[in-house]
Amino acid sequence: MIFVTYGTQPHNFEYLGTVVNAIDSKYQVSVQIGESQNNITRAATSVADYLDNFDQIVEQSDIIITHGGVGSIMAGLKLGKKVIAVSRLAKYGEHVDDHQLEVTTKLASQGHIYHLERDQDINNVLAEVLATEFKPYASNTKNFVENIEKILLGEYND
Amino acid sequence: MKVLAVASAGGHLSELKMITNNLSDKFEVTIITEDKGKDDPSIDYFIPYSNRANKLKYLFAFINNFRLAFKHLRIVRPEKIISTGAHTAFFYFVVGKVFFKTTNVYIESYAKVTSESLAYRLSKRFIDTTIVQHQEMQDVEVGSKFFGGVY
Repeated sequence: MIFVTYGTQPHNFEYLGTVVNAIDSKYQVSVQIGESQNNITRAATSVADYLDNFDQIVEQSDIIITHGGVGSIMAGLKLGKKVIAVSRLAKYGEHVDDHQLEVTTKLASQGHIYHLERDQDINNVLAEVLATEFKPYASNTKNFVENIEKILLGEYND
Repeated sequence: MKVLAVASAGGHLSELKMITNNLSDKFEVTIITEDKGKDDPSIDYFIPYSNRANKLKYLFAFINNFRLAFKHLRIVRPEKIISTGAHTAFFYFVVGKVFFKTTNVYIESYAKVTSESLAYRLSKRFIDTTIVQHQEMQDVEVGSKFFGGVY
């Protein structure tokens, strides 16, 4: 299954809808659209605003196609899923600025995810992604929080 | 130690919660975020959701947020404030520093890799410690600390 997530931004993201519409009918597709306008016309595609069982859906998916939000990308990476990220861009009114591009570019250059550019054919990309081994993401949460605690307690040394 | 943890809704809040969920019991944490209509028992206080998309609405929210920051800080009286941004951080850092002598710790978003955030630019005079989540960000937000990402 392919799971598509738009995140929670109130901005529209028409482009991601056109990507969904272009996905070959051999794939099963499920979409979480949030507050973006729905221009999805693809047959047999389930579209929900939000999902209470978000992590469960991610777990059941083979590929996550996501807007460039860190939370959505990491939800896929932490469960070891193949992630295709599409950055929301300010020039198309998809977000307030282009910050999504910073992190998608970096994670893609590190080999953790695939970054979908605007002119790419989604079906070619899906085939490529299915054949690609991505680099697993190792959690740093424990180390991060230990350092935050040291800072709060005034015990941090550079 | 009393810590007030505040973040805007969405990715900012999920990064904040990754920290607060893992803090030891040395810390008594109060969590504040924006109200997006989600029922969340881990949140102590909500402020209304706003973003920069509507300028006039944002002006009203801007003033109201200072009022709420003062109100919450007076109730909680934290020693330290931590925030993962975005604009919500600014109100609590300013009011905390000016009226309540708080120590302010700003944690830049994992999403910021190569450019300064608006929240940081507005708040930096009121921040004691800045933490970034990508090494290259130390060149952008100068003087910040780095020990990997929260994820």
